[in-house]
Amino acid sequence: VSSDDAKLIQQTLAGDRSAFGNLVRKYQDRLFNVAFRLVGHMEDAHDVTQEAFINAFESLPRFQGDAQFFTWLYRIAVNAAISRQRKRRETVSLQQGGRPDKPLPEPFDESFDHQPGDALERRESDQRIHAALQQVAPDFRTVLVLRDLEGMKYEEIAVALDLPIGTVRSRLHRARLELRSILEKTEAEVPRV
Amino acid sequence: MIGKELQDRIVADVSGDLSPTESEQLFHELLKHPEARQLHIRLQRDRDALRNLPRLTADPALPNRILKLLPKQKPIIQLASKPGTARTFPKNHWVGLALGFSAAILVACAAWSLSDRGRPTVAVQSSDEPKPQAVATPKPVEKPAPELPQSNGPEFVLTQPEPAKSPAPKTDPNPVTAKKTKEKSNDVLTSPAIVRPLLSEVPKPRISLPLSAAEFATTAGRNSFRSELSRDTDHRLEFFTSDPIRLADELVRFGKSKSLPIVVETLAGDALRRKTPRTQFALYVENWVANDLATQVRQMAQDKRFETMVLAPLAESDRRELRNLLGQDPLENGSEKRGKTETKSSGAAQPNVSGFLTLNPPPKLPSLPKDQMSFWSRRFERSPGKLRLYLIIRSL
Repeated sequence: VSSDDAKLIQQTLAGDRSAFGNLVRKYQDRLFNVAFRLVGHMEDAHDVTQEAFINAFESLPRFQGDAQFFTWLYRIAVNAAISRQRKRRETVSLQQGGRPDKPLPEPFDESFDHQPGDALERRESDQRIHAALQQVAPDFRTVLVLRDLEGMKYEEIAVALDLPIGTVRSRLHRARLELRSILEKTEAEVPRV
Repeated sequence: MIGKELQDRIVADVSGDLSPTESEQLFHELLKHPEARQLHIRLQRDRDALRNLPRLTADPALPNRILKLLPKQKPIIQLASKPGTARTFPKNHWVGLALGFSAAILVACAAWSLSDRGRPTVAVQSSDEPKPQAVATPKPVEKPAPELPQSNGPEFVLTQPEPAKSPAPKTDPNPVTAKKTKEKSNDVLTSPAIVRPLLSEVPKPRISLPLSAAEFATTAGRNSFRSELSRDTDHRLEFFTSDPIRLADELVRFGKSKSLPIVVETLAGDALRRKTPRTQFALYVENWVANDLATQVRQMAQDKRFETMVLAPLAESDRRELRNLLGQDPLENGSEKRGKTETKSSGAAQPNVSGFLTLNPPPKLPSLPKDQMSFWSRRFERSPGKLRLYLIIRSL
């Protein structure tokens, strides 16, 4: 645990809520990004992020400090995301006219690319990737998100997901191939101009 | 059809799991196997697309919302004054537990003493007597037992050399004191699990990046090229083209347009002038700017000047080839300080150069050393941070 985090954790445990607020501010964007790529919906991602932080607050006394605080937070968020997805599947199957399980278009930072053509192309590519990612099996998707989006090392992913490193490696392997196969199908469906 | 073993290695390479040697080996196999090469390229593209997905920002009001939703009570923890007593429970829980525990001990002691089976071995057992079944497998703990409420069971706690089950808390919730607590144990069996430190940051091995001209039309393709280019100043760039003459000519012109002229070796110059088909070239350049190069390669891809290119780190074998090409290793031999132009004794201004183009493999001609000398004698001072490239133009 970084010394900053350890200090904030100690202060939180001593009853200083604003210290926990600082932890939230520090990690909310990263956690939100992961949550969004895992659940695929903005609203759900906000809920998952919120839930993860609240759970983290409640479980803080059990945090042993032998892993990075954020890795530990990931684990909580991933569990929250899995449980959210499970609930969503149940809800959709019960509500016939419910919201279809199709991801909402995500907001993009338009200032990223100043050239209009490039921005449009990038946006399309991002949407395609995001949509394909949502079709990858959740176990594989999680590893893919943590590895490629968050740039985590195998060891960190193993800690975050409580899996052996070998399993992380094999899941990543299968995730890449699954994503490729999904993208190939999508690319085949896109009419060529 | 791609074999399973090859496919596994391709995916492993994309994930960065192969060693540089294995990557190099795979790269050579990919050159012979177009389908596998395509898969490799696509998987790399997918990976880069994932990496380049936009980063979103959470609702700025989230911290306040979370703070409002937090339970009123602070996380149940009191900072430990000594190890093993860190975790506490709400008082009402303790009272119940203490009462129940005391009552149970009293009943057990009473029943034991009333029964005619001899003295209670648990209560008064000395350390050299065989242990009873109930405590046959005690778990020695290094931490002192937590502050349990004092029970009325008289000798139980005092005479038991090692409590069978210590209700000591599993962990010290305070991350700072927890570590200190762990360090105290010297017992292999009872010491806490060793937490392996995470491997230190290992720089990602550089691998070859094959890109087709079509991929330069995509942002992901361009980004991966730029990002690989930015990882080092020394690269090997291999172009596969059906028109090597045009490509070589464009590269020479590009150098000239950036005031970085290239010495064209005699035979290579002849091939350029006569447009000899299927000629292969080797070009060494330095002082090129990464951004300019990326723009130029993108432009050449747009103009379909090449089919595929492979960007790779400059290996030891490349340096050997460069020594063969230039007579000595340009990476070892720094250039002398020179201005933009240097005036020869004859008075004619000789522009300084920053590259050397020859045939691939270089011809064994008496003129070669002379051309090489021309490069060495007019070489620019190298600016730190600028690129040194070994470009190979192969004919398809």
